[in-house]
Amino acid sequence: MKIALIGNPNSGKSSLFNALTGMNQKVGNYPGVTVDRKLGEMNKGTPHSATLIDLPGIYSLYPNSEDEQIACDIIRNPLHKDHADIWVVVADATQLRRSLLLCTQMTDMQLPVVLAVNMIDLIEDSDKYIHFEKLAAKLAIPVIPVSARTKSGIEPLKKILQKPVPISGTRVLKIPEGLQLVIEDIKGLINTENDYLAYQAYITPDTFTYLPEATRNQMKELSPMHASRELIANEMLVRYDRIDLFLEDSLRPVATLAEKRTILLDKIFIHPIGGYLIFLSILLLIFQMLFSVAEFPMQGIEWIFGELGEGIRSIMPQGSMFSHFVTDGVLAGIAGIVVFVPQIAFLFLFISILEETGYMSRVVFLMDRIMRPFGFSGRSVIPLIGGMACAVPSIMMARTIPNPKERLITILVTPLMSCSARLPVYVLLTALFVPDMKILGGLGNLKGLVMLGLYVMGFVMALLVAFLLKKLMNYKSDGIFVSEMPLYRKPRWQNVGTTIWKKTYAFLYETGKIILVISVILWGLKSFGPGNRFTQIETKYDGMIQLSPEKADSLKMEKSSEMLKSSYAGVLGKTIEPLIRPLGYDWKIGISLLTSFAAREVFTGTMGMIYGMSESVEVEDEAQRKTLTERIAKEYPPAVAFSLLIFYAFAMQCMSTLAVTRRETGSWKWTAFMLIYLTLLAYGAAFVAYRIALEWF
Amino acid sequence: MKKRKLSVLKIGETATISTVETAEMQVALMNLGVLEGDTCRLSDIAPLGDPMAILVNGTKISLRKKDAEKVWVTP
Repeated sequence: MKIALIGNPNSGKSSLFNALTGMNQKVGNYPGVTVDRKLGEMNKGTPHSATLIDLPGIYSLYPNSEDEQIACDIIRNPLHKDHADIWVVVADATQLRRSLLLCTQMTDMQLPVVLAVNMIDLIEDSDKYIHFEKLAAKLAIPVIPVSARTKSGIEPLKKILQKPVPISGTRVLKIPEGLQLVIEDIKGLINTENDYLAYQAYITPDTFTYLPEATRNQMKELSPMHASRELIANEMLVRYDRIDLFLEDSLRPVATLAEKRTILLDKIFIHPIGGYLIFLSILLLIFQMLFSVAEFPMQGIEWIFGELGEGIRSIMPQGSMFSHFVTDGVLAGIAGIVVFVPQIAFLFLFISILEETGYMSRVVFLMDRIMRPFGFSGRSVIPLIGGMACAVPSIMMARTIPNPKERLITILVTPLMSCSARLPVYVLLTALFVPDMKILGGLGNLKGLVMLGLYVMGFVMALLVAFLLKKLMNYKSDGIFVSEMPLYRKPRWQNVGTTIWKKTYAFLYETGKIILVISVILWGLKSFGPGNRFTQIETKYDGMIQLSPEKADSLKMEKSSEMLKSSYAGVLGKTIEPLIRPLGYDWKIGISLLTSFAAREVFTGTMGMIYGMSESVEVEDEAQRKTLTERIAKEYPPAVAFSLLIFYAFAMQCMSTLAVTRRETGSWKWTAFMLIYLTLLAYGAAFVAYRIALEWF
Repeated sequence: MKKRKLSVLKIGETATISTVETAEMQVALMNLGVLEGDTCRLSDIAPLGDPMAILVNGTKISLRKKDAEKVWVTP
């Protein structure tokens, strides 16, 4: 049996879903769109086991966004794989009138409906205010008071859902006399017996996306489409008139405690000055936690994978290609994926707490006007700021932006924000041309100032590009923007936990595949070379090591340096040399640019390897950094370092970001667009920077 | 009775929604359970004067200034 939960956003639908299914959940994606498909199992392992589907939140059966469209498709199309046998309409007890709008639409659809009046714990003596029995009689469907938070009413609800529910609901909307003929025609066209479904098709044929286009076009000819909004408004008025009758035995509860608390808290949280200060403090706290706490598991993961690689190397035949492939290709690729998990988990921990408590909509409220000129709404603020930590979870967060164009713009510019992976590159490169100089009377350091400048530059560029994209896409950010600011409440930790789990899982299993493929390709480029140059180098160094075994270590490093230079990556680096010449780069930097496509921080490792140092050059390590900077400084003028710095500030040097963009846009086209525009931007900016630097330095 | 636009209300002022100009706006408000005849109170105005938030039927709703200009209230 399939049971679907539907209801308004903020009605506690997901909490109820969690309460009914426990941890038996999985999350996927609806094909072709970026809408989560949440499935769970209720009464697992018992004869009453049933599949539960948590549909995206909707206010009515007239969709306004991509996820609402999915929910409506499932409800309207009896052949959809998620079309359920029982529909549980989840209502917010404190917003009963509004919740019944959707409920009466569902009963008009003549589907088996159960009404779950959720969050009754928010109303003291809820029985006094809501007359559940009379409401059930008037709606002619089962009505169950529940609280997902206190778990009251969950068992009675489960019991009702054990056996099929009859189609019994009161029908509210009558088809006007003059329309009956055309409605009959549409019923034939879309193959339904239901008047109301045909009426929906009559007034909004273009939202019937599940039907073939030919059918849709036939419906459009019958439809008064120019007046569809007026007809929807009229329908809603009819419904609300009837709902007021349904609720005449119930009283509107007096202002709840949560409501009073919200009014008070908003005096603080959206205060014209205090509000911004609090927002800034919360951001600082999150970043502080991210950098100080997430750092430990990240180092742990790197250590575990390092040891694992050593272990595999020791049990496999020495120097065999297979062992090389497993450890440096596959294992390193997996490590590169897993290392993101702490950052993703931590960021989503904070973000879901902010969402759960209702604070997020206050951020939107505070930032909306400021962001609007750039094609953003307040919703884009969090993904953009998150980009300063890591673009990967930030792009995943953009899912909460309802407008598809705004979401796309946000995703496309987020990688311009300077993320934490750029830091080692920045540290290495600023050391090359910025003197170690105290400024502001010893308060700061010139290097720090340059670093800050880079962050600001990334942010300004993100706004600039967003503004251009907005113009290019002809996106007008002036649509109606009316939204609910939910009452403040304590976070429900189970919801927080499931969000973290779902996001991490989605990243590992859906994005991970792409990342693994790219890293194996990059490994292949580094590990193979044209002709038999590799074997020549092998024999040459084997001979040398045999002659002077005491120099074995340094000879091995020289060997890997020479091998890298003659690998395909090396050949490619040399091939692109004429292309990157204008930026001041030679083929050695070319190799580093290519290999650091995996992740920006790989740049330091590759440069180290070219100079015959170990590949695991650590920028944090004073001595190693000094050696590397000295070697680079010997060969390149400061202008090159400056040009590289600008290049890395803008370039799309991160395969994980690319992979997650593919997942979140659902399109290779936009992913390619992102890669190309960022590369061109980086190239252009680095060119200008190099020319200027040549004049100045 | 004298009609005003919702957008001219001051913080803390209470009024009754009398008419909503466009069907689109009407539907957007009705989705959130806000109907003509409901009483609302302007509770917050963001810095820069936009957006604004109203308390209505026990919930808080934020709307942009240009949308609030489509809503007429009495008194």
